[in-house]
Amino acid sequence: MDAFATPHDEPSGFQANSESIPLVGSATETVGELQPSVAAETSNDGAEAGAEARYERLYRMVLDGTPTSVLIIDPQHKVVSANANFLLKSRTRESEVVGKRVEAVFPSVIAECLNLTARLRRAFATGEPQGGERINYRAPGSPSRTFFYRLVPFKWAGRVESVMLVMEDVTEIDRLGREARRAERHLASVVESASDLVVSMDRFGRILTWNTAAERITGRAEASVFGLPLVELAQGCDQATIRAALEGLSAQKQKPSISFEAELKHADGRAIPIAWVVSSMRDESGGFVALGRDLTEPRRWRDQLLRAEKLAALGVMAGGIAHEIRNPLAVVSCAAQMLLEAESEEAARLADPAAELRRQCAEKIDKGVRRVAAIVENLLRFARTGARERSTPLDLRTVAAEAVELTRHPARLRRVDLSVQLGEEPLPVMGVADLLRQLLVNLLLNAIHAFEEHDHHPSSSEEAEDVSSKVGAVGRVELVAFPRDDSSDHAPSCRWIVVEVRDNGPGISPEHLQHVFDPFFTTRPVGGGTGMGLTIAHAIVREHRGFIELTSEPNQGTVAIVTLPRLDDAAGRESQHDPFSSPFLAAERVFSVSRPLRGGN
Amino acid sequence: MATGPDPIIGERSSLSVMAEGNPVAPSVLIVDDEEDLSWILARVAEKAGWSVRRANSGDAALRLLDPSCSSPAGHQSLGFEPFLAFVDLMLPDFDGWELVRRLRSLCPDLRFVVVSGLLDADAPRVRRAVKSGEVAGFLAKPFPLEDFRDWLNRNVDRRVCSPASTEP
Repeated sequence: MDAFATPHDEPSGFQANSESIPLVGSATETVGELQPSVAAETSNDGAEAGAEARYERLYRMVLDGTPTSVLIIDPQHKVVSANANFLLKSRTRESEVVGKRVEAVFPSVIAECLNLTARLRRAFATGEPQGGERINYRAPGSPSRTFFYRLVPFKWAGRVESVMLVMEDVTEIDRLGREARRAERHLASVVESASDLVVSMDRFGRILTWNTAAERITGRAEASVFGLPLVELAQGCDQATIRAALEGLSAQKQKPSISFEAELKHADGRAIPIAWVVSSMRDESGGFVALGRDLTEPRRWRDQLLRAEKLAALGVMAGGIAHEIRNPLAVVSCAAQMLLEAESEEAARLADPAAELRRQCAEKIDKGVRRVAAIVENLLRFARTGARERSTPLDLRTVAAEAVELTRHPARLRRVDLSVQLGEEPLPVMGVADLLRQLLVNLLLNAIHAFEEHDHHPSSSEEAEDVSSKVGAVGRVELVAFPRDDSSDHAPSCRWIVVEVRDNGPGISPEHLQHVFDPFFTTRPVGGGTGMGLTIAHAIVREHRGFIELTSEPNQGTVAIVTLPRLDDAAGRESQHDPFSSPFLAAERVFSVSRPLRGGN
Repeated sequence: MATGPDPIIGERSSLSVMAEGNPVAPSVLIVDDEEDLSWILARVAEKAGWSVRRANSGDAALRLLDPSCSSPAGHQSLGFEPFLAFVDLMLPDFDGWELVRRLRSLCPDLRFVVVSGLLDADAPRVRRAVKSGEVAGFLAKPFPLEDFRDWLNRNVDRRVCSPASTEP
C-alpha cells in the first residue's frame, strides 16, 4: 500500500492537515492513519492523489460504517477526527468535537473517571495500548449507556503520531449479560430450593449438576457425583431402566420426556425409590435433565393406608368368623368339660384304665378348645376393641409404667435390661386403660422376645436378678413416651403423644417387616406365639385414632412408634362432666385434622 | 310333631322332674338356638338339682311363661315359674335384649344371665345392663362350666317369681 509507505515525520503537519479538512468530517478522521500519507503525497503526481482520495473515501466509509465510536487524538490531546458512530452516540456535531481537547469532549466526570489525560500521555509515551475498561456515559437527554474503551497508539517510524480512542457501546451486551446472569441465578435458586432432585447430564448420561435436594436425598455431595454416569448410582435392573430411558430420548429427539421409577443408592447403602421424569436438554448438547421425586415418604403413607385397609377388612371378616365359631365352640367346650368331670369321677371311683383314657381324651379336647377359644378371642379383640365406647381421659404415663412392670419378669428371663422414660409432664390421652396397657405389653413383649431365652431358667426372680447382674444384660428394651406437636400450615393444632418401644435386638428383615401386622404372622415356632400381638396392637391404636409403625434395622434393633392424639386440656375439663361423649367429640375434632408426620419437627 | 321340630325342648324332662314330686325344685329357663349347648347346660343344671326348661327361640320362651298363651302344639306354661333365665343375645327371631324385656314383663322377679359369642369389651350394652341391674350377669361363649354353675348356685335360694297377672 503506497499510501502507507510514505514516511511522515511531521506531527504539526499532520495536525495542520487534519485541521484543514474539518468539513470532511468523519471520513477524515476515519482514515486518521492515512492523513499523513495524504498530506505527504499531495505533493506527488495527480494519479497518486486520486488513489489517495479513493483510499481516504474507502477508510472513511469503513470507519463510519463500523458500530464502534472512534476518535483520533493528537499528541496535544486534541481530537483530530470523530467517526459517525461517535457523533451519533454523543449527540454532538463534528464541529463541537474536532479540534477540541479530548478532555473537553467528554464530561469532566468521565474524563476523570477514565483518567484520560494520564492514560493518553502514557499511550503516547510508551506506545502501549491503554484502557480496556467499561465506562458509563450519559449524553444529555438520553439514557445512560455503557461503553468499552481502549486507547490504541498509532506508531509511525518509531513515534506515536496519534492515539485512536476506540469506544464500543456495550449497553445492550451488558444488559443481556446481566439478564442472563439474573435468569441463571433465578433458575439456580429454583433448582436449589426445589424439594425434588434436579440433575443435568451430558449426552453420555454423566452428571453435570446435582441440586441440593439430590444431595440431601441421596446423601451424596455434588462434587462426589460430578462426571459420574447416573446409571452408576442405581442398582440392578434399575440401571437398565435408566439406560433405556436415556437411549430412548436420544433416539427420539421429538419425544418430550420419559417417566419411570428407579431407585438410587443412598451413600449409606439404602435404596431410595424415586419417580423420574427425564427430558432431552433443549440445546445442541444432546444432554438430559432429570427430575426425581423421592417416593420414600409417599410409599410409607401408601403402605400404612393399605395396611390399615387390609386389617380393617380382615377385622370385619375375623369378627364374623369368630362369632360364628364361638357357638359351636361353646358346645364342644361344655361337652368336653362335662365329659371330663364325669370321667374324672369314674376313673377315681373305679380305677378303670378305660375311664382314665376317656378322661385324658376329654382333657385334651378341653385344652384344644381353650386354645381355639383364645385365638377366637384375639380375633374378636382385633376386629373390635370397643375402645371408642369406653374411652376416658387418662395419663399414659400410668399405663406405661404398669405395662413395664408387667413385663419385668419375661425381661429378666431373657436378661433384657428394661428401662422406661416418661418425663415429668402428664401425657393425657383419651383411651381405655386396659387396652392401652395391653398394647404396650404386646409391644414390650415383642421387643423382649427379640432376644433368646437363656438356657438356664431361674426358678425365682431373685435368682434371675442375680444372673443378669452377674453376666450383664445382653439386650436393652426401652420405653420412651413424650408429647409432640406438629405445626403445619393447614393443621394448626396437631398435638400428639408418642410412645416408642426400642430394642437393640437382631432387627426384623424387610420381607418380614411388611407382614408384622398381619394376623397370625409369627416367626416363632408353632405354639410359640399366636401371631396376633401386633395385629391387636394395630387394632387398639386404630381404635384410639392413632398410628403405629415399626422401623427396623438389621442387627441394630427395632423401634415401634405409637402416635396417639393428645387430649386437649379443654377436652379434659369437658370430660369431667360427660365422660362418654363430649371429650371424645372434642378429641375427634382435633384428631381428624391431619395425620402425624414421622419425626415431624 | 307333624308341625315340625318341637320348639320347646326338654319340657318333658322338666315336667317329669316336677312330676317326680319335686315341685319345689328351683326352675331355670335356657333360651338358645344352639340346641346342643342348651342340652348340655340342662344336664349340668339338672345334675345340680334344678328343674330346667329349654327354648330354642324367643317365641318359644314367651310361650313357656305366658299362661294366657296356649301353643298350637298344646304346650301350656303349666305354672312354670323360673327365677333364673339364661338368654342368648342372638336368637333367630328376637334380639336378646327385647326378649329380656318381654320376659320380665311376664315375670318381674325373673333374673337374667345373658349369653353371647361377643366379647364383653365389645358389648358396652352388656356392661350398662349389668351396672343398672337389668341383667344379673354375662357369659361369653365358650365359658367354663364352673361359671355356669356359679350363676345357678348364687340363685339357688331365691323364691320363684310371682305370676305376671299384675303387670299392665
